[in-house]
Amino acid sequence: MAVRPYDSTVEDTVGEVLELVKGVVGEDWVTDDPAITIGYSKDNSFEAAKKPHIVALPENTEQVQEIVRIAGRYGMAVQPASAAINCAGGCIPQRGGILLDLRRMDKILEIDEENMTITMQPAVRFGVAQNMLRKQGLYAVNPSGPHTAGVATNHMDKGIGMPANKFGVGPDHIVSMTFVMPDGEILKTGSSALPGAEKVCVEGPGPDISGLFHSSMGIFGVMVEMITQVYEWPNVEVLKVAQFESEDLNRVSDFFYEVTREDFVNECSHLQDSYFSWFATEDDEVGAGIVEYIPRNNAIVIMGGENEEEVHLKEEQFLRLVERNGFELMDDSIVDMLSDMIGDICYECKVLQSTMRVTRFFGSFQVVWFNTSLDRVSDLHKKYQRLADKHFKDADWRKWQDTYPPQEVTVYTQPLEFGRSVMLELDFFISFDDSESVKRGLAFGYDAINMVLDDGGFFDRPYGGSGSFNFGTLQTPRLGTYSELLGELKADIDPRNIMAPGRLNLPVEGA
Amino acid sequence: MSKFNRDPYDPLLQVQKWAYRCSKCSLCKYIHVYQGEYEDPRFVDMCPPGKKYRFEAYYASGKQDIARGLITGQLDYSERLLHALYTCTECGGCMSNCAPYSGKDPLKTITALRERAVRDGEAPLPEHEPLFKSIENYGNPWQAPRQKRAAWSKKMGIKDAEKDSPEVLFYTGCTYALDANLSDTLKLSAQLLQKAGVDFGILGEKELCCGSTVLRIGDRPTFEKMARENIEMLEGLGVKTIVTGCAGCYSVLKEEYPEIQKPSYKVVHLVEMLADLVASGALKPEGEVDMKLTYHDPCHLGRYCGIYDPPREILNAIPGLELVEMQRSKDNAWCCGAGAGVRTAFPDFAQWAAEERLYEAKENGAEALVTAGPFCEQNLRGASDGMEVMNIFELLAGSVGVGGE
Ligand SMILES: Cc1cc2nc3c(=O)[nH]c(=O)nc-3n(C[C@H](O)[C@H](O)[C@H](O)COP(=O)(O)OP(=O)(O)OC[C@H]3O[C@@H](n4cnc5c(N)ncnc54)[C@H](O)[C@@H]3O)c2cc1C
Ligand code: SF4
Ligand code: SF4
Repeated sequence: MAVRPYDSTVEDTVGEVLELVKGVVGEDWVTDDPAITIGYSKDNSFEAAKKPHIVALPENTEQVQEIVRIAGRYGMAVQPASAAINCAGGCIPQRGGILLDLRRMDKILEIDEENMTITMQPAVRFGVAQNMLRKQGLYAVNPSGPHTAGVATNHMDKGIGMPANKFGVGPDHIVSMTFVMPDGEILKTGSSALPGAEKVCVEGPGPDISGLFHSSMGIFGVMVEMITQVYEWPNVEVLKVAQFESEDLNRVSDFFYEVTREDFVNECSHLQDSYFSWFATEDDEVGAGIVEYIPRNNAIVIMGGENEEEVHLKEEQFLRLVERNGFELMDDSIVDMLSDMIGDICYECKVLQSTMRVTRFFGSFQVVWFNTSLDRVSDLHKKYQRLADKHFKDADWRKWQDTYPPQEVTVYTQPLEFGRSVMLELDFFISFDDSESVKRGLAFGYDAINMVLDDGGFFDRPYGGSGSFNFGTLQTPRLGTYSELLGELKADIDPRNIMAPGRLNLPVEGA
Repeated sequence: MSKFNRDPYDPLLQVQKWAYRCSKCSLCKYIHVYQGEYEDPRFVDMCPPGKKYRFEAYYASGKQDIARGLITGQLDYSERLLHALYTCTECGGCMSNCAPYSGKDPLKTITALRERAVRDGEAPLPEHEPLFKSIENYGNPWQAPRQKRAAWSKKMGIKDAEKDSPEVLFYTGCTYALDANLSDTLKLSAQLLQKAGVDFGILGEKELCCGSTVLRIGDRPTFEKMARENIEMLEGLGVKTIVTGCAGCYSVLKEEYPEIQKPSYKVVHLVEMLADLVASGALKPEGEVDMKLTYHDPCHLGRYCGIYDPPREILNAIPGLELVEMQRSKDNAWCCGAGAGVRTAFPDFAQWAAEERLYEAKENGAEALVTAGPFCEQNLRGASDGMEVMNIFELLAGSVGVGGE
C-alpha cells in the first residue's frame, strides 16, 4: 500500500471548512484572505511558492484536534508550522489546505530543575527557553541558528549545533512527545505513553515509534507538547580557536578525529574565515577586516567545568593537541576583541544572535548540508567546489550579490557523536530577485545534491517532496524498501493523506 | 487582479531586492537577546501589530511577501491587506533586528508598500482623510487654526525667529503647540532655554508642519512639497541650530530633509541640548524628585536617530530620582502604538499597544513613566488607568525650578 494521492478537488470546500474552523478558534484566528495566506507561501529555499487556502492559529491542543478532525472529514491538507523559521521549505504547504500556525502555543509548562527536563508547547523559542533555563543553571542543546528557532521543533527536526559532538542531535534530547494524530486522537511517546508514568529518559515501551516523527515535517500528525532533556550550564567556560592557513581540509578532519574524542570538549565546530567573520559581526566592512586577521581554517572549541582550575587543566590538554597537530592558537587579544564586539562568546554560542552569519545574507544564501564521515570532508568539498566553478564561473554575479561570488564556497564542519560522523555544510550565494541566479542556483543545487548522494553523503533532514525541489526530492527515491515502508506507514496512519501531503516524496498509489 | 507591475517608478521596485531576500528567520519579531536583559518572557515581542494580530502579514516578514505579491500581480488590495499595512506603527523594531548593516531593511519595504498604496489610490485610509484635510486647510494635522500655534508663548519675551536673528530656532511642532494638554510643555521648555541663556526664537503662527505623518502614511509627493516649503523658510532664517522637542519632527528634519537639500543648520533634539546644558552646569537640577521612574524611548528619537543616552543623562542628574530600565528599552523598546497614522486610523489598537507598555512599566516596579515625544505622551496618557505619564521637560523644569506659576 502506498500513499493515497491527495485529492485537490477539496479546494471547492474551502468556504465550508473556513466556517467550521471559525467555530473552533473564533473569527479573529482564521482567515482565507490572500494578504494573509501569502505570508506562508515562500521561504528562503528553492521550494516552489504555494499559498495555503486557510491559515488558522489554534490556542490549545483541543482546538488542534478539532481542526484536524474537520480537515479529516473534508480530506483537506494540514501543514503545521510552529516557530516557522525552517529555511528549507519545511513549512510551505505543498498542496495548500490549512496552514496550522501554532505560534500561540508558545508556553513553557514546566522546568524540572532536579531531573533536568523542560516541558513545553511547540512554539517555544530558544531565546526564551535558554534564558529561563539559565536561571536554574541549565541549558537546552541548541542549533547553530538564530534564537528564534523552536526548541521542540528543532529537536524533532534533528537540529545540529556546536554541542552535537558531545550531546548528540535533536532527537537525542527528546524524552517524550504528544501528538494529535490525523484522526484527531492523542498519541504520547516515550514513558508518557503509559498514563501516570514518570517522565523518564527511556525509549518507548518496546519497539520505539518516536523515531517515526523525527524530521517527519508534519506528515504523521501535529506535535502539541514535548518534554526534553536539558543540561548543566557550566560555571566556567572558555573558548579557544585553533587555526591554520592552508586549504587542506584533511588537516581539520585529522585534528577533529583527535579533539572530538577527548572528554574535555563541550562544544566544537570548524568555520572557514568568511563564516567566522559573519559570526562575529553584522558589518560587512568589519567582517572583511576580520577575514584579513584570521587564517583560513578555524576549529572552535568550548571547554567548561565547575571551576577555573578544572577548566585550566582541560585547556592544557587541548593546547597539547593543538601543538601536536601544528595548529596555531588564536591570540587571546583577538578573542578579547571579539568578546568586546559580541559579548560573552560562550553565551552567544548557546543563544545565537541576529549577528549570526546567515542573517546578513538572507535569501541569497543557500545551504547544502548533509552527513558524512570526517575523512570524506576534504574530497567532498573539492568536488563541490569544482561543481560551483562550473555553474558560476562565467556568471555576472555582481548583478545579484554585493559581497561574495557564488562560487566562493565556504565550509562549516560540525562533528557529531565524538567525531564518528560530521555534518558538512557547503554554501553558495544567489538572490531570488534575479532569475539568472535562481536558474544557475537550481541547476547547481540539483547537481550538488546528486554528487553528494553518489559520493556516500546522506541527508537526514530530507526536505522537499514531490513537485518541489530539495534534498528529499532526490534522496527518497533512492531509499528503496525504506521509502516503500514509510509510504505504507503513512497510508495506514493517515489514510486520507491529509497531513503535509507531498512531503518527503513518498511513493504514491498509482503513480 | 492587478497586472504584473512594470511601472519603473513603482516604489516597490526600489526595495525588491530586499523584499525577495526575507528568509523568515523571525528575528524582526522579538527583541535582541542581550545577556541578562531577557529575563521576562512576557516582554520579548518587538512588533505591536504582530503581537496583537499574530498572522505573518502583521509582522515585517509578512510584509515582504505582500510586496512580492503586489510586484508579481499575485495579490490585490483587500481590507485585510490595508489593515495589516496600516496597523504597522513604523516603529523600526524590525529594522533594528533584521540586518541593517548590509543595507537590508524590512522597514523600507513597508514604507514603499505605503507609497505604492497611495499611488494606487488605496490610501490614505478614509480614517486618515480628516488629517490630510486639516493639513491642507490649517497647515497642521489637528484641525486647529494657525493662530493657536503661538498661544503658549504670549508674554514670554521669546524672539521672533524671522525678525530677531536668534542663533537657535525652537521648532515647536504641531502636536505640542496645538494639544491643549501638552502646550504647557513648550512653555516650560522655553523657560529652561531662557534660564540657560540660550539665544533662541520661534516662528509662532508662521511655523509649518514638518510633514512627518504624511510621509509615514505614504504620501511622499505631498510630504516633499511640504518639506520644500519648510526648507525654504528654515534656510531663510540664517539660524545655526534648530532644536525641537518632538521626536517625529526631529527625525524628519534630521534624516529626511537633508535628502532633499543639504541643510545649513544643525538639527538637535531638545533632550540633547538640555543634557548638554545640565552637563555644563548652565542648568542645575536641584529639586528632589523622589520617585522610581522608567523611561520610554520614542521610536523616532531612539531607533530612528540613535538618541538613547541624553534623556537618561538628564534623568540621572535629577536628585532623588531612581531610573529603572524596562526589559524592552533603547533599541529594544516597545512602541507606544501611536505613530505613522495608527492612532488616527485604529485608536483601539493604539490604545492596546500603549496599555502593553504601561503594564511593562508597572511590572518593572516604576511609579511613573517618562517620555520625550508628544505622540507617545498623548497615547500613553490616554491609555493609562493609574500609572502616571510624565514628560522629561516638565520633570527637569520642576527640578531646575522654572515654571510652576
Ligand atoms: C539562518 C538560519 C540558520 C540556521 N542554522 C541551523 C543550524 O545550523 N542547525 C540547525 O539544526 N538548525 C538551524 N536552523 C534552524 C532550523 O532550520 C530550524 O530550527 C528547524 O528547521 C526547525 O524549525 P523551527 O524550529 O522554526 O520549526 P518550524 O519551521 O515551525 O518546523 C520545522 C518542521 O517541522 C514541522 N513542524 C512544525 N511544527 C510542527 C508540529 N507542531 N508538529 C509536527 N510537525 C511540525 C514543519 O512542517 C517543518 O517541516 C537555522 C535557521 C535559520 C533561519
Ligand atoms: S524581515 Fe528580516 S528579520 Fe524579519 S524574517 Fe525577514 S529576514 Fe528575518
Ligand atoms: S515597523 Fe514596528 S510595527 Fe511595523 S512591522 Fe516593523 S516592528 Fe512591526
